[in-house]
Amino acid sequence: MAETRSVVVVGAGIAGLATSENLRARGFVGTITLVGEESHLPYNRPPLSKQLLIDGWSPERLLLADAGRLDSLGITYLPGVKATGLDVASRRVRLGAEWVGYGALVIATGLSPRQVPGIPGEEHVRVLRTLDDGIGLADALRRAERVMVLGGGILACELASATRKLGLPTTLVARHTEVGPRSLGSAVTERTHRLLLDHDVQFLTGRELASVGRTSTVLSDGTRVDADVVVAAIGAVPNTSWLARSGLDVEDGILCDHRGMASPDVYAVGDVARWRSPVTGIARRLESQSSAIDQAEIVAGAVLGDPMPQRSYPLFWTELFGNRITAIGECVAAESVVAIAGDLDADRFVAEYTVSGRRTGLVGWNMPREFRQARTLALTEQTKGTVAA
Amino acid sequence: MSLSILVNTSACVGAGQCALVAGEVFEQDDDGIVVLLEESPGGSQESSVRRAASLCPARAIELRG
Repeated sequence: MAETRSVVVVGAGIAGLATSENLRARGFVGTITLVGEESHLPYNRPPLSKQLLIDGWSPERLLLADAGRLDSLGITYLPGVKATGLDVASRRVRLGAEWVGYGALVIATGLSPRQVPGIPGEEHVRVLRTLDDGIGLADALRRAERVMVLGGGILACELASATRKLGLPTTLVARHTEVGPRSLGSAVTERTHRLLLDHDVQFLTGRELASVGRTSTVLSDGTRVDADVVVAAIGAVPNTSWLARSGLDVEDGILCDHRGMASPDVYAVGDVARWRSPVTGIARRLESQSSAIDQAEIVAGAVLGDPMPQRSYPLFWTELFGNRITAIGECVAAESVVAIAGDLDADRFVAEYTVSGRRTGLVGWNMPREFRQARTLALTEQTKGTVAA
Repeated sequence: MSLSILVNTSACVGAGQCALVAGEVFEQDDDGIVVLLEESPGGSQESSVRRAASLCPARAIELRG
């Protein structure tokens, strides 16, 4: 393999930035161009639904790197530039209107929030994905009287937790009747649902939004709900439309092998990437900050011809009404869920998820240290090839 | 050259990645928040400390030196 002299990283979130940093940390001396569609410096996304809304963090506190750090790492940062095409045969990526050559390309273009389907007043519905979305929402919440959150997943729960913490009456509208982090299985989902109820989040489930006005909305069953801020958290889709003619497989994210390679010298990391598991053979996207960081490390190694053997398991965390929830591995298909610390009915526990007697996942509920200790055990066993969390 | 470590406890999310990979330098309190055991660890710890900083999902660990 010829030595790579130039790397172009498209997407300046945590996955793209961490890949760039890892390349330098491993001694890569060629050029690194980091391309970001947004105008900001690279920033950290998880606090958008938490500290930015609740604790009044300034946007500067979310930045992952300042200009000086990017400079000192020799990373050429191009903000406000959108990738618009890829030609793998000639190894060129189109940035805006200009075709640029690369030795290796790393795609980290992330996700875009799903928008509510065309309904009257849809322009009043906010989403939360970018820093600008977050700044706008934080500002709107300062003036809000009543909030509606649309969606039943973890982001919707975090938003409802934030708006209740701000003292705002909050209605959660969801198509599903089950509200919570469904990937963590029904026990945790039910607990989360209860937590929101206990904190006076009003639920209107099994319904959709029909129309939105400035201060009130109408649902699909005719119910009228007062809300002057409406924010939708109804999922997100991979940003791959610019790759439509690239020949890459982009059905639900960019299909990659177990080291993140989508095509020779083309890699994908983070939320947009669908890596194939070397164990199960199944390819899927992992929407997890820690998976993005792991993948960045692995891809930096692959670009430099220096493979990293470790596998990554999606690590998840959230905080809802002061409850700290952590999870790792596969929880949804478990046959058995047992508390290995604390008590499943209490406010603190670590739950172990197993399939055929093998540990597949762990959830910590207000027991972060014990959760980590349980992981240490799992990782020790993993080196013997028996456990996957 | 010795490494000095700064941790930002208000950014920490309690994921425990740091204590997992560099348990002699980082610990967690009851809420999971990072506790720095060693502000200037010796050279033998350097690679695990750097890895802890790079794995932190909250970017709450800053290294100098």
